[in-house]
Amino acid sequence: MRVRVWDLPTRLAHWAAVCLFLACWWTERHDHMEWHLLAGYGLLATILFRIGWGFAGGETSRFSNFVRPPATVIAYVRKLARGARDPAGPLGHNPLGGWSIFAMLGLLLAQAGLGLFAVDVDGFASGPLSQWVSFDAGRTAAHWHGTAFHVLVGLVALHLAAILYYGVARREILLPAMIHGYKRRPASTAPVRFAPWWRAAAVATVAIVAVLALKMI
Amino acid sequence: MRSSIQRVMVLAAALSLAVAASAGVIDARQTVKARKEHLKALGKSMKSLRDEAGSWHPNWASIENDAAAVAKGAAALPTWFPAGSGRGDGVKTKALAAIWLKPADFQNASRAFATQADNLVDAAKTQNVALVRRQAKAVGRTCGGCHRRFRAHFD
Repeated sequence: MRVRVWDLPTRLAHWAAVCLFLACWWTERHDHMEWHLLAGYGLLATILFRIGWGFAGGETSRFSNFVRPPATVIAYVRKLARGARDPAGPLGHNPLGGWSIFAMLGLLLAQAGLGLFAVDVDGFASGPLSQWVSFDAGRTAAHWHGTAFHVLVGLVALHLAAILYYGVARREILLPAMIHGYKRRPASTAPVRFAPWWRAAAVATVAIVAVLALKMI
Repeated sequence: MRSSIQRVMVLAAALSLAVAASAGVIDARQTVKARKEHLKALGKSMKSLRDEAGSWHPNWASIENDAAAVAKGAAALPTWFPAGSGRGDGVKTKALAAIWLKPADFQNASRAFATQADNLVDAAKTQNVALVRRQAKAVGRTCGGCHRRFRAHFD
């Protein structure tokens, strides 16, 4: 039976984050810093939305649903190691993947935070809060911004490796569900509770207004 | 067609450079160190000017000071890049060989920077915040325009 797992706001936020992350990388790599700042604002709004959706969204998108205690994670890893396949396994994020999502969101938020204070060598392309810090402090923020990027690339690589592992070793193809939102599950599976669309609109509005306010400073 | 005088001049310049290099007059490492300091000072002035122009009560004396410093730096910038101080010359630098392979392009890029920096000095004198901000943006674009073509991403 096809079971709806990911709601549209979650999927949109996921793919927006992917596109904007790539845009941030490309624009910085090619010294298009004005565009880099715009892409960064977009990514920050996306991350803020996703964090808000982690509290207000559907069941599978909520932190309370996928950030599990260490004991649960260890038990899950043991099950993975035994190679046991469970067709009725976790619908949304599994206990291990949940922490990976938590880490990626946290680091992306920190990354955007560093970017707000970062100052480019020429003193021109600078985050909106850089006026409150010295040139040298802004440069330090920029260096940390660069380091955090590399850690993020590592986390993304881990994310992709896990998807590949599930597909190859456990015969569970995860990608399509993040595109159309559905997974195949036994008919006995309890349906996922989702949040109404207006709640997504409200969270998105808050996220966008917050970023616009930052940009205005 | 180049005139023979031009040819002689180019030859003379090339010869004198070669002599200078072989005599060890050009200490690439010293040049790169000084250049980094110059450019960092430029960045500092630029940041200070933008911060001031973005504050509630801009200090116009400070803005004019920074604009003058940027313009002075912009005028001097080409002299910070003597031949033999780029990548592949045994020094750690982001200065790409294109600076010396396409000297006309580099001259144009640095001239664009100097022109916009001079305009920034004029803008600062008007004490018009919107104008200064717009002109600071124009200056910043010439920074990026040059970095895109002549600065490597990593050391």
